[in-house]
Amino acid sequence: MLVGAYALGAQAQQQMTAQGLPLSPMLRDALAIQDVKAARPQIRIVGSSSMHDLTLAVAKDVMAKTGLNEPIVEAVGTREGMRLFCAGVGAEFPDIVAAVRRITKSEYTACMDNGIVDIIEMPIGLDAVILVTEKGDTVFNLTARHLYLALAHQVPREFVVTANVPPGIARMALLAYSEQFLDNPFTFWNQIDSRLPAIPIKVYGPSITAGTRDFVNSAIMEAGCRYFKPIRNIPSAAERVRQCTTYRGSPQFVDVPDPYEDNVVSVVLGEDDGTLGIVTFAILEKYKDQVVPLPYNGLTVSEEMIAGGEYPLRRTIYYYVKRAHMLNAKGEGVVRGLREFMADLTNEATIGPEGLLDRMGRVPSAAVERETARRNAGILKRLER
Amino acid sequence: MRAHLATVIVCAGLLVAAPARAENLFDSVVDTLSYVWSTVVSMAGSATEAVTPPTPMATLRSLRGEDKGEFWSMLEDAGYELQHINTEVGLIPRLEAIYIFRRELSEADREALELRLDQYARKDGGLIARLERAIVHSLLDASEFGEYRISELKVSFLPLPSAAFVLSPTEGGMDGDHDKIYRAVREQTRELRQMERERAERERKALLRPQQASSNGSLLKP
Repeated sequence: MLVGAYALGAQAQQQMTAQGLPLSPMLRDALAIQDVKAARPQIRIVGSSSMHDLTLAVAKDVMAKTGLNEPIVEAVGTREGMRLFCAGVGAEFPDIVAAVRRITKSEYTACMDNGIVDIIEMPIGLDAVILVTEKGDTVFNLTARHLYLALAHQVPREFVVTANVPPGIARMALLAYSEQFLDNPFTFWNQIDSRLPAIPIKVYGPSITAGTRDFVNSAIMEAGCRYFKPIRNIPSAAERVRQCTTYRGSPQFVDVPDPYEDNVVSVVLGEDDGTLGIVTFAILEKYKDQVVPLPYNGLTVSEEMIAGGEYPLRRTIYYYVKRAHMLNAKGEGVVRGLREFMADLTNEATIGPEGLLDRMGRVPSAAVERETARRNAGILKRLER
Repeated sequence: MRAHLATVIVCAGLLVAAPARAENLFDSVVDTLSYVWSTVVSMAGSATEAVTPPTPMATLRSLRGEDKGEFWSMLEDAGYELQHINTEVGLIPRLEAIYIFRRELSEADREALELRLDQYARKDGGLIARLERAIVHSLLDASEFGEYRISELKVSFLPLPSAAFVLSPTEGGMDGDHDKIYRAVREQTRELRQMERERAERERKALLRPQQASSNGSLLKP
């Protein structure tokens, strides 16, 4: 359905210039279009619930500066958001996806297969995944190997035989010599590593639909299992990933119900000593009076460590935009406002130090990376994956 | 001069016969080495790092055990496994390690290896380390190629550093061993099917026997 003529024109250009929004030649041309025939009256954004607050803030900012209609923002999770984004081109499909990880090759292939050949990738900042516990509880150093052995549904038999477990479990493992993997028998942290405290294993984490769960799978679980011989002997990547990222159930690992950001800290508070939560840096900053971060690989997270790249669980957050949904020179297309959204998103006032992103608990990326995002948005650079 | 000669031999060592359809991958390997060659040429006359091949025993030690060198460890992370080592002892000793492709890489494996390569680049910027990274990058590129992969890798450090890649189609013809296994499985399947048919026939006959007896009237009473 066409929306009639909708002119921003000179007034919007003046507003945007006054508020410091850079007007690239392409953006200027977009705003100059007087006769707009967009199929949908507002932008539709799907994706990460972790980035929902940031997306809403940027959308509000764009609305205030340009007078565009309020975008539809759906926090369905990174994985589902990517699936919807890559489902096709047209007014019934979303225009933008917010993701806490880079688009995977399979998702990119799905986009290509469905006719989405021009995707603009904008890495706009940094975040991190952190393990936290309630203030006053025992703090101990964990590694990817510890977490894999604590949370996986099955663990290598050869490790159980030599682990610090009760004699009955060790004997059972010894007798099961035909098995490569056993159901995870560990219930206390010190059974995995005698240097860890003798407290029960209990971790609250993101559900299977969350992008943060995908990140935990690749950065923690796969990293932790990678160097065990029975895992390395599995030739198929898909089978190895399945073996490493199948989690055990309660009480050792519990999915936090949605909305994750609101619930993860509340479920950790008041629980037994040693109960951990997997949170993002933004959540840690918000609840830093109630929870403390655990060191990971001997490193305690800080903004400087995330920005400098030393913290191992840091990640880049992205927005992906469909170029095919933008208006052409004749003013025809799916929706108006994508260029304006991208310009505001990559503006220094949004992603720079002390900017909107910084104030919302994320970490600004390096100046050269911010410039790359701005350039990608300005020239509508096509993602090659 | 030795550095230039070493680089020329590396380039020659990497020029393996490749099917026409693999020329894109082959081009990326050649491009990588061209970059290394131009970097070495640009350093000519200044502080070019001397290329001194390691001794045979030092190289053998670095291939195995806890002292495994960074390069060999990265080859294993790239999904390759040491199959055998050829050594020649003489006036000009020769040492060659042959790796075969054993394990696919997941996306997480690939990202972790790329991160490791970046860290190695920051730690060691020497010529040998650059060549090692170029080899691992070529393996990573090949793993994304789809139709072809590097099924065998020959790495030689003596008498001079070189690497040779063997490209094979991902879904190609079987070699002798695979063909024997395939034939054996096919034969077993045929035998099992025959046994199943014979069992079904016996059961059919067993079902029919009482009916035939009753029609004769000899065995069954009404």
